[in-house]
Amino acid sequence: MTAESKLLVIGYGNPGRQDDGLGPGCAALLADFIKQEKPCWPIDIDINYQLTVEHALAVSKANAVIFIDAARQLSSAYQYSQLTSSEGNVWSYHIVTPGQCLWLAEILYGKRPEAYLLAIQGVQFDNFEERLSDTALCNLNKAFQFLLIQLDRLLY
Amino acid sequence: MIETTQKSRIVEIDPITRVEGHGKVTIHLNNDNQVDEARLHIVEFRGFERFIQGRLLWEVPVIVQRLCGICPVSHHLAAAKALDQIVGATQLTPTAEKMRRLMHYGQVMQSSVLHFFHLASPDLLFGIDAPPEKRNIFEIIREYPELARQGVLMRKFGQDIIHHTAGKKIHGTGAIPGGINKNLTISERDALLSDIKQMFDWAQQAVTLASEYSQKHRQQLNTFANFKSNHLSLVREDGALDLYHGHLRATNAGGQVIFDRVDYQQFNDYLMEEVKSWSYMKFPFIKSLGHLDGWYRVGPLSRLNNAAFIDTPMANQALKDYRDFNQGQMNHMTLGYHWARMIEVLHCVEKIQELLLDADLQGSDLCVKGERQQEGIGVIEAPRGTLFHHYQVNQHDQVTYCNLVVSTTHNNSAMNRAITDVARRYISGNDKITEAMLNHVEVALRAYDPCLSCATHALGQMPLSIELYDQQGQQLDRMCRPTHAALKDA
Repeated sequence: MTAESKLLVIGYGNPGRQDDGLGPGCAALLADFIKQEKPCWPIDIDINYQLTVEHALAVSKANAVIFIDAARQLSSAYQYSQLTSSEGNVWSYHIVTPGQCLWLAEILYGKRPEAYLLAIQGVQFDNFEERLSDTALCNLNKAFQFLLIQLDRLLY
Repeated sequence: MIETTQKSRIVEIDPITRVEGHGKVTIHLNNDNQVDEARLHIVEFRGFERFIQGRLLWEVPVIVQRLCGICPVSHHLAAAKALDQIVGATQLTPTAEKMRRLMHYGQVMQSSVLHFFHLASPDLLFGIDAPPEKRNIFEIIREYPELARQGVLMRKFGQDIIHHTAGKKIHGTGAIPGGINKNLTISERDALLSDIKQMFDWAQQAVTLASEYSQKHRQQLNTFANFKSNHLSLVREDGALDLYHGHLRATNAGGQVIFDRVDYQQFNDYLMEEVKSWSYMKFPFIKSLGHLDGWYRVGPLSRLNNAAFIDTPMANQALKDYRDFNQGQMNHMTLGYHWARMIEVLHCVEKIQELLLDADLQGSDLCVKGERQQEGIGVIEAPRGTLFHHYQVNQHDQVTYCNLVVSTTHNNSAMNRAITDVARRYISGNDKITEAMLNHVEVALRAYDPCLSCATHALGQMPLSIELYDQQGQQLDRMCRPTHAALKDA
């Protein structure tokens, strides 16, 4: 997060596992869009396999954060929801959830930014394949258009 | 999920805490209600080796990172080392080797730090027997926030190194067959150097913490899954600890050499893998000793057992203290992994500083090639232990064969031995399993920091459950852990 940045977008998931790559895919689309269309947008983009504890530091330095992840059981192409910080049920692994990431930012660094989760519906996750399904691609396009509107709202 | 019968009560940890990946533990009782054995089952298989077949060799170091989001850099580097052989790059340029080493030390450091500060620390700081509502990461953060912050910043430092050496955080492309594709700029170097003193301080504190824990709990270390085994690791030509490159050395429980100075290109002549019907994870063993006596351990404990010395002064002094603790004998304590792991973190920080001050990192000679080969084997000491990547390619540069023997798989027999040992000590004679008993089993597994996703070459995560069986195969008990604090019987 640079000093003048206001917004952090974190797209996470494994592009080598089919639709689990929706988060990185959406974040990569955004990076291309900003580069070509909105170079003045003060947005930092982070693409990673998973959320891990050190994301809490970057989150604590942002004014607002949007997490983008693939989802399995949505009733629509995507779902956008505001997040609250949460310990979660169990922190068992090397990874953390968005709520736990916010909780860590708050308890370790004293800051909890406004945060949202953009969940995009995927349908195929079980094989090693670096390709989004047709359904996921369609959902990604819808979610991305919605994301641009939300970013514009958050920034201005 | 286990089906229960009228008579049975099943015990399950759902999910197992602070271990990465998929699996299940079963505990088998005899007629006297004593534990016969405990088994770690790997219950999912995805066949990454098949997936990689047909891919172009140039793609492999990038694709293999998708095996695991926890240790992608280790796979990236092991694959690159194997493909070095195929493109005939028998000797990398100094810039290439040092950039790869820097990437590797950053990876080992950040992975080991996370395990110690955030996954193992609840057991170490609050005690294995502490109530579960106390023994968790949230309480660590509440009671030791500075420790948690150190863990985060040390992780970030390691990730920054990976970013600057691999090119990006995800699907890094830094290591390529024959070398690397970038050097380290002066500004990248200076940014990393600005944090190095802090890393030294924290790494030394972590060694002290692990050392003091071990001194204070000496009896526990002596009795908790402390069993004799063989040990395997890479060591440098002169016998020093080397996490990136060297020859294979195997020692027995008494410290005598089983084999040494073995070129890892010949590893198939020395190691074999046994298959058991109840797990997808194989059981490697030293061929000359057979499967009953030839199983071994890898990772920090084994590396410090096998190394003659460490070539960085602070870590070498820490190694001497560590060996004095055990009167200079081979250390077989499962809980000894934690102290060994922190000594390696200190070593990594020392090596990182050494490399950052080396002008070769700004060199421009990045890649070499030589006589093309059809086969290559790359070995690296990953955070969890020795990692083998073996590939064959055809004349069209397509992969025709791939075999990965990952660190957690090497430790398979040892982990089964560890949980059996602990189950016998803490569960035998009890027809009901408590959370505290199960945590002892988990602690034994957790010390190895297993990455079960890697071990099955699978992705994602699934809970590891624990079940108790009688001699007739009836499930006796089951435990669920819906939150980190609460337990309930099914």
